[in-house]
Amino acid sequence: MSSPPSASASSSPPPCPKKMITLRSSDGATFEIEETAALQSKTLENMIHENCASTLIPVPNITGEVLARVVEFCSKHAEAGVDDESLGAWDEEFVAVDHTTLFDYIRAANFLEIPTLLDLGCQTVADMIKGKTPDEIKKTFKITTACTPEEEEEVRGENQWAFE
Amino acid sequence: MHMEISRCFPWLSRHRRKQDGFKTLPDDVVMDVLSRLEVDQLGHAKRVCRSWRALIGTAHFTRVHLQRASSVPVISPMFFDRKVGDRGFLFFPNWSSQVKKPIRGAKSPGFRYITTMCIWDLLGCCDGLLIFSAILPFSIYEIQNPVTQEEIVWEQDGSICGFFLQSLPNKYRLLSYRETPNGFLYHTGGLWPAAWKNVGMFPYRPREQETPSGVEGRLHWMVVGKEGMSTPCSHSIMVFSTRESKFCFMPHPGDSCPSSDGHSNMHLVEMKGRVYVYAIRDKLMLIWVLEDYASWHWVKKCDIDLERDFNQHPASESVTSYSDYKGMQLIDSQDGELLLFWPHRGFFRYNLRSRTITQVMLGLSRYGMMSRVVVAEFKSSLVSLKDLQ
Repeated sequence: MSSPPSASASSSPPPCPKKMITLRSSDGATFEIEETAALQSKTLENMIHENCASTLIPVPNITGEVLARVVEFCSKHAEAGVDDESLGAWDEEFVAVDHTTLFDYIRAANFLEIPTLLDLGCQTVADMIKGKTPDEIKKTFKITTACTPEEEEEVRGENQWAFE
Repeated sequence: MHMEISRCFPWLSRHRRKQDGFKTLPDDVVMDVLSRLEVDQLGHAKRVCRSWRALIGTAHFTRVHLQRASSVPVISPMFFDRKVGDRGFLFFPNWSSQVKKPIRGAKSPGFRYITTMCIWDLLGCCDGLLIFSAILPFSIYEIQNPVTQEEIVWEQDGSICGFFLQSLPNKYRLLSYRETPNGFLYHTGGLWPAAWKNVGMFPYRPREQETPSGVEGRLHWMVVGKEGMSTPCSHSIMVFSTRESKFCFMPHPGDSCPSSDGHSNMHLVEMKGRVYVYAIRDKLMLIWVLEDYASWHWVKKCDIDLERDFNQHPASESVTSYSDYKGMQLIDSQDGELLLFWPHRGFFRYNLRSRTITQVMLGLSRYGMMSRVVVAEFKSSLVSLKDLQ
C-alpha cells in the first residue's frame, strides 16, 4: 500500500520533545538529563513531582565530576532494555575505578536513591572484600581504626565458626 | 563540605584519597555491603575494625544478611544399620566440585548430653537453625546453629513436626502433635516460655522422617492417618499457614492412586524456594511444581524414565524389578540438573536436557550403605539461639 504523497512537510506530527532536567552539582557545574533517566533516582523523581515548574534541581552533596558519571549511568540504564546483556559488561567497566571514586558513586547513589547504582557499587565493594584476610581488608581500604589486642583476642575466641 | 575545602587546599584532596572510604558511608550502606558476604567471610570482617564488628553483631544485620542468603539442601544420611550412639553428621552438596564436604560445626547433636542413648533424626531447618529429634529413650529435641555453634537441648511430650518464624510477633515457634483417641491434637508454642496453643484436632499426621517443605510462610507435609494408614488422595497434603496458625488438607497432583498403593511413593521436596512433588510410578519419576498456591495449581515439570536413563550406569546392574527404583529421592535442582539419591547405590546428577547421569562420589562408603536421606533447606546464618526467647 503506498501512502499518498504528502503535500506539506508537516503532514506527520513532530516527535515529542524529551523533557530535560538540569542538575547543578555542589561546585556549580550543570548537567542535562532526560526526565526518563532522572526517574532512575527516587530522590529526583520526588523533586520533579514537587517542583513541576522549574527544571533546575540543585544537588548540593555531589561534585560535578561524580554527577557527570551518575548522569551517564542513569541515561544508559534508562535507554537499555531489562535483559540487555551488554549492560552487564558496561556496568563492570563503569565500576572499574579507584576506590575513592567507587565510594563517591555509592554515596551519590545513596543520596539520590538510585537502587541499581547502589546495588552495583555495594556488590563491587563486597566482591573486593571476599577472599581477603582482615589485614588485607584493612590495607585495601585503608582502614586504620584497628581493634585493641584485647578486642582481637575476644573476637578470635568467638570466631570458631564452622565454615572456614 | 570538605569538597570546598579540598578545592582551596589541593593537598588535602590527595590526603582524602588516602582515607578510609567506609568512614564516608552511612551505617546502613556499610551494612548493605557486609550483608553480601558469606558467613565465613564475616568472621574476617568482624576482625577488621570495631565499627564493623558492632554492625555485624546487631540483630538487624542478621536479618538483612539472612534475606540475601541463598539456601542449599542439607542432607542427613540414614544408614542401613543404624546403631544407638552413632555419630551422625550432615553434609551439603557442592555442585561445582565432586567432593561434598561435611558441615564441620554440625556435630552429632546433643553430644554433650546423652548421645550414647539416642538416635538423632533431622526434623527440619528454619533460618539456618537445624532441629533434631531423638526418640529413645524419651522425646528429646535439639536446635543448633552450626555457624555460631550454639545448641540447645530439651525434653518434651508430643512429636514436633514444624519449626518456623511467626511474623507477628517476630518469634520462632514449634508445631507439635499428640495422638489422642479422637485423632491428632496440634499445638504451637515457643521454647521459653513454653506456652502452647491448641491449633486443631485432625485425623492425620505428617509421615515420619520427612521434613516439611516450607515456602512463603506455609509448611507442607505428606500425611498419614492413625497407625500409618493411607489418607484419601484428596487429603494427602497437609498445609499449615504460619501467619494464621491454620491447617488445610489438599489433594496431591496427578491422578488418584490405586487404592492398594496409596501415595506412599509420593514425596514433597522444597528446592530453591519452591515446593515440588515427585512420585515413583513403575519405572518413571514424575515431578510437579506448585506454581500457584492460591489456586493449588501444580504443573508437571518432567517425567524421568529411570529404566532407560539409568540403564547405562553400572549401578543398575543390580536392578531386578521396578521396585528397585522405589526409594529414589529427589534432593536438589540447579542449572537444568537434578540431584537424586538412590538407596544403597549413592548420589547421581541427572541432566534434564541430555538425560545423562553422573554418579557423585562422596567418600562416605566407610560408614556403610545409606538406606535413605533426610533433606532440609539450609541457609548459613548468624541467627542466635537467644532469639528463640
